[in-house]
Formats: sequence, structure tokens, C-alpha cells
Amino acid sequence: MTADTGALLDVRDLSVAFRTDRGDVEAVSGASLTVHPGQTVAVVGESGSGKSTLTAAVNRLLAPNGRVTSGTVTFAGQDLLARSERQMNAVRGKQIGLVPQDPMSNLNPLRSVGSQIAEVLTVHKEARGREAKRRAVELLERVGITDAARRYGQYPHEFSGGMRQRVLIAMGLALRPQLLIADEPTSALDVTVQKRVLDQLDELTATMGTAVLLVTHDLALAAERADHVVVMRRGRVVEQGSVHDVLTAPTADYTRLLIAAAPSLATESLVGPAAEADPVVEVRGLRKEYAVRSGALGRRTPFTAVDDVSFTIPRGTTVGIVGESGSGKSTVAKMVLKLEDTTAGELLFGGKPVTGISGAELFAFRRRVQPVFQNPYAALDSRYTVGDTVREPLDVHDVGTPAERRARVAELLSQVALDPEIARRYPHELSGGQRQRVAIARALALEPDVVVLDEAVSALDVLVQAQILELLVSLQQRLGLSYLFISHDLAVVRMLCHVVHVMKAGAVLESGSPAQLFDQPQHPYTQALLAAIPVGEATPA
Amino acid sequence: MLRFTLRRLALMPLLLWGIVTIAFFLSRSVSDNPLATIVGERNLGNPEVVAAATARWGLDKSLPEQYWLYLTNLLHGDLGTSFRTKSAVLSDLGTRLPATAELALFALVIALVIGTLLGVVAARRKGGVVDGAVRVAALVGSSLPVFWVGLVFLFVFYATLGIAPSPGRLSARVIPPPDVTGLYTVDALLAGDWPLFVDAFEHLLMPAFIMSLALLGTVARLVRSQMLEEQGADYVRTARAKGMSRGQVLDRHVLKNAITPVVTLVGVSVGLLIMGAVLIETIFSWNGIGTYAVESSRALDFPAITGVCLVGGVLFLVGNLLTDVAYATIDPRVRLS
Repeated sequence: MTADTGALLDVRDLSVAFRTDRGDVEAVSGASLTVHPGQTVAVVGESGSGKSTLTAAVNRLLAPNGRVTSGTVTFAGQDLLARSERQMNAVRGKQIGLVPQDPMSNLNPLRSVGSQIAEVLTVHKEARGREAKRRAVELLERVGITDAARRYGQYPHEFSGGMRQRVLIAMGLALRPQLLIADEPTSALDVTVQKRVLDQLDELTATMGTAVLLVTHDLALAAERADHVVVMRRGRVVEQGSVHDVLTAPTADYTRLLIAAAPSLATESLVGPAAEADPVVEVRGLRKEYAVRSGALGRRTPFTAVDDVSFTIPRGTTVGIVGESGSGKSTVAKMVLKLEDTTAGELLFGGKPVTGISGAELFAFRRRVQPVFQNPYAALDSRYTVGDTVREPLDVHDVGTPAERRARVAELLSQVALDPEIARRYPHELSGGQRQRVAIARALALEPDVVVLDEAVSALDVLVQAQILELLVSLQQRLGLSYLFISHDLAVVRMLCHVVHVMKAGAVLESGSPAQLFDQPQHPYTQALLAAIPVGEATPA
Repeated sequence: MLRFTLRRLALMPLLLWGIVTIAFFLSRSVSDNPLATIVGERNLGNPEVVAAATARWGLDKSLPEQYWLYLTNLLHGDLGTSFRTKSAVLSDLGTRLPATAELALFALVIALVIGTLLGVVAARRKGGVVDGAVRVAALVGSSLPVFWVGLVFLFVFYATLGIAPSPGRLSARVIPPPDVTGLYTVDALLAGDWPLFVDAFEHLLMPAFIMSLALLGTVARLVRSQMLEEQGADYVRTARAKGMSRGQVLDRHVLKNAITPVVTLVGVSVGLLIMGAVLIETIFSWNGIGTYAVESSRALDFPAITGVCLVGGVLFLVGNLLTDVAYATIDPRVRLS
């Protein structure tokens, strides 16, 4: 194949390998893509698909153990793979900007935000001293940060996640590069913040005429923001084309699967209407205050994380709480689990008050209510085998004989559709989806009445997420479980829940069935949340 | 930060009281009698002299009484009188502390500067010859016993090669500079006496270097591992994506992040340096707190021993306080409260 001469970026048959203890692992295999000036090209794929590696190879910032094994990268007529390190330094930042994924870890915590932006200008000798500062302040203003002159001297920890991401965008676009690589630029942000940040990014790149190589796991987001989509799987490009073609007439089976699995507000609910049942959990006027130090004198002031929250969980149903970060939804989950004390309010379990219980009563309560958390990597002890992990609740509560426990572990693992043989393996040998199944099996070990799922599917890829959601629904039907489902993802909540509560700043703003809430949202905040979700339709160019 | 510092300072007397109490009772729990020191071996057979001395030094009083007397005197800034030198412990310490301070400060500077430098070089060329050499040297430096290294250095550089000066703070017959800070090198410079400075500096170099070895090795290894760890951080890749060279990123971003744990290390090692002074000063005839501590202990000089403990405690606490303040200055996320 010959290079596309009109292209800004032309990647041809690129292969990248990483040297590991187990020999070379190929992360990208013969991938090709083209970006034209001013165009937005989205690279879509699940974790491990090689999408980030591909873009890292473009500006030659692969991890030290990675190397390009074949193929070419042509940018603005120059062969980037043949450039020296010094020549690449002139390209990076000036011609190719980068907006990285995680706004928390991508800024140097010890240097002021402004100086890190100004640095782009000084390194390329575009400006220095006061002039660099003036332009950095201007950039901060352009990415929508108010009071930019004062904010210039502040440190990353004084900025919210969304604001940090704006800072990273300002850095990436500081020298009006021809190409911007945006690697999951908003995956760590709340949906309403994501929309604002992406709108800002769109506007800036449009006025600067910057082409964007957008890496994302979110097909709907890619569809909404890009002109051209490249679908990757296991290091290979399985399909690419215009957004319209790929979404309406996908040719690859994998793309079809992805489209089908991606939850959207149009996805049908997995559960039927809620049956009438007695409440297993009742929460009345729940309140949680934390003492935080603030101000120069470090005075302790109370911060209300949860404010007068009331709801019930009827037996055999799923109650959802949606909200953005800081809404208090996870604090509610912790209080229901009794991992966190309540400041005020009442918690009833099976009609009995459990607010102040301790000792043996609390121990008994633990058997009835079990959690599954977001991060399946952190939630499992890396030194325990899967079998140890699932058996531990049985050991703690002294259930059955050793032989019975072993049998129960096997039963639990098959219940979550895992091969009981997996009991001998360690977490690092499992995929993310398998680990989350193990975490669910552990939660089910003591036959609880209620399982609290705190962002339990948020860290999973869409295909795996779809499987876990189906598993949760079938377990509910078979075992009569009640779920408290905490999530920021409205589409997933819609699929799984019988009743939904929308939380913001510690309070419940609106409640109802998913149909009521999502089709006729009453509260402006619910409306804003729904409007911010990428709907998967490209805006007409 | 000011509030934090004041609160910590306010807490210090309480901690020092604890240190003094422990030192007081521990030193007096020995079964031996310090009278030999006070009156001299020859007079031990003379009951009159012994009785007079016992009364004079308050040794006839009960231990609680002695303790109470010591505390009340301490509040008036009186650390008692040394059994051995017969002068006030406070003035003894005042003349000896600068000698140790000069040694320890210089050792600290050597450890920090050379240690950081070696760590950075090793991290830059990870797996290279320099890296290997630094790692071995750092390990050897921090594992060899100080007294052994001191004796070997003296034997090789002073006794055999003759390129190092004799032990002591100055050459024989050289008159110390007028006392301003008590640090000979500094005072010599203040007096504008260049030859004197050179002489003091030459005498300082070897003991300070040996004293710094253990810390130097630890600093080098810590800086190296921190640099390597920080180099994998996300913000480093982001900085590289701005177009900065590897070296620029190391200097402007990585080093400061890597160095913060070193601050903690230095704070903790103030105590280690003081302990190291005991050995180094003995070998190099350095008339500082270390030798004073050794001589006082041998002579069961209770007031002097307690005084040394008090000074050590103050230095240790101040070192820790400075560490916390330095940490807050370097890292904007740290809010002292």
C-alpha cells in the first residue's frame, strides 16, 4: 500500500511489540489508519485492544519495553519512525499535542498548573518569562477556567477533575498543533462534565483547524464526536469507515457485538415491572456529616455528604441510585452496608432497626447484606486464590465443614458461570470480568438478602459489562436477591433497576421507575444528566 | 504552618522533660559510685573529703530529692556542674556543641550533595557501569562500620601516605579563630584568615566524609529508586509529549518529586549523625559532644550525661520539626495541622 499523500497522519501496517518476562507480546498488529487535516478520527476498542499503544507509537512515547516492529508512521510528509529523539522533541507539543487520559496523575503535583502550561511555550522557545505566563493565562481562559490569572499559580490538587482535564487540553493545544492525540480524554469525568469538556475541545480544535485522533472505549461518544471510526480488537483494526457507515451497516461481527452491547437509553430493560413485596431495607432520613478542616486556621467545619435520604428496597427488586461524583451515593451505600456510621436517621432491616447495632447483632447483619465494589483488581486479595477468596466468608462465619465449604465454593463459582477449576488460580491470572464474577460469588457465599453493588460494572468493558448485567438479573430471579445498585451510568441503571433515585449534593432530587424518570424527567438536573449522555449520532457535518 | 510550628514547639518541653527524666534515672541506676571522679582515687580513703564532696554535690540527698533539685535548676537554665570538669555542664556543652555541629552539618551536606548526584546519575544510566558502581559503593558505604573505616582511613591517608592532616580540629600550634559561631571554618572565614580556614577545612574533610558514608549510601539508593519510580509516572509522559527532552523532564519534574522522601530520611538521620559522632570524634580526637559523652559516661558524670541526652533530644526534635516544615514547603498538598 502506498501512503495517502493528502493525509496529515498516515499509519501503515504498524506493529508494536512489548518485551515481557514471557517473551515478546504483540500489542498492535499491522494496523493502518489515516487522519486528514482538520478531521476527527476515533479509535474505538476495549481494554487491551491496542488503541492506546497505537497512538503512543505515533508520537513515539511507547513504554521503554515497547518497540515498533514493522510499518510506517508518516506525519505531514515526514517519516516519524526515522526521526531522531531530538527531532521528535521538536514535533511533540508543537505539531502533535497530547491530551492524556487521567487528569489526576498527568499533572506534576508539585508544580503550579500555570507553569506546566507555560512550559510548553518555553520549551519550544515560543515565549518566555512574562510573555509565556500571559499566554498561559490566556489559554486557561480559552479552556473555560474562570479567574485564570489567580488560578495560574494554583496547584493541581486545588483543581477538580474536570478543570484538570481542561488544563491538560490547554497544554495539548498551547501551540496550535496540527494533530491532537486525545487518549480517553474524558473517561475519568462525570457525564455532564464530559459533555462540557468535549464541547470545549471541539470548539477549540475547530477554530484552530487541529485534527484529532480520539481514543475511546465509548462507541456512542466516538459516534457523536468523530467523522471517521476505527474499530480495534486484540491489536488489529477490524473495521473502519465513516461514522455513519460503521454504525448503521457494520461489516465486522465484532463491531455488531459492540454496538449491540453498548448500553444506551434506548436499550430495553432487562427486568420486568417491580412486584409488590415487603421492604427488606428501609432507610429513613439518613444523614451523614464529616468534619473537614478548612481555611487558614484549619477550623473543623461539618460537611454534609448525605442529607435526609429516605427509600425502601422491596424484596427481590433492584433499587438504583444515580449521581455524579460527590453526590453522596457511595456514602449511602456504605451506610446501608453499615461500614460507615450514620449521623442521623434510621436504618431498618427486615422491619427491625439496625442503626445502632454492634457485636453479635452486627456480625449477624453482615451475613444478610453483602457488597460488590467497583474495582475488581483492588477488591480481591492478590495473595489469595479464588477459592480462598470465595471461601473466606464461610470461614469467618463458621458455616459447614471443610468439605461442605469446598463444595459450596464450587457451587458458587458455577452460579456466576465460572469453571470451578478456577478456584486454584490467583486474581492476576483472571480477566477483569472473571474477577468481578469472583467478587459476586464471594458476596453470594453467605446467601445474603441484599447485595449492594457500588459501581460494580463501571470498570468493565461493554461486552463484559453486558454479561455481568445479565448474570445479576438471572441471580436475582433464581435467588430472590434484592439489589442496591449505585452507578453514574444512567443507561445501565435503566436496564437493571425497578426504582431509581437521582442524587446530587447529598440529597435525592427525583425518584421513580426508570420509564418515568428517563422518559419524563421532572427535575432540571435529571434532564441535564440525560442530555449529556452521548447518544451515538454524529452531528451532521 | 505557623500554627503547626508553634504547637509543636509548645509540645517540646513536655518531650524534653520525658527525656531528662529517663536519662536522669537511667544514669543513676548504675551501682557504681561517681565519687572517684569527684574527689580522685587518692582521696577516696579520706572520709572527711568524701563527706564534704557528697554534701557539696548533693549526693547525700534521696534520689527523688536530687531529681526535684535537678528539675528546678533546669528551669533556671542550670544543667548542674560536671563531676569531672568541675565547670557548668551548660558551658561545657556550649564549647563542644559547635565542634560536633560543624562535623555533622558538613557530613550532612556531603551526604546530600554527593548522594543525590550519584542517585541521579545511576538512575539516568540505569543498568550501566555507573549505576552498578554506585549501587555497590552505596551498599558498601552504608554497611561498613564507621570506626573501622575511620581507622583504615587514618592509617592509609595520614600514617602511610601522609596526605591527610593529623586527627584534631586544627594542626598543632595553630590558634583557633575568634569565637563567633564556634564553627572553625566559618569563624576563620569571618576573620578573613584564609590559611586558617584551609587548615580547619582539611581537618574537617576526612572525619566528615566518613561520618557521611552511611547516610550518603542511603540517600544515593533512595534517590535512584525514587527517580526510577517517578520516571514511570503519567505526568512524565505528558511532559515528554510537550516536547521536553528526557533530561529536561528529569531536572524539572522528576527530581523534585523524587527528592521528597529524602527530606524525611534526613530528618530521621539527625539522631543517627549524633550517635555516629561518638565514634568518629573518639577516633579523630574531635573535642565535641561525642567525646564529651564518652568521657562523661566513663566517669559516671551524671549531670554531664543528662545534659548530653538533653541536647540530643533537642536536636532530634528540632530535626523532625524542620523535616515537617520542609515537607510542607516542597509539597503543596501537605497541609500541616
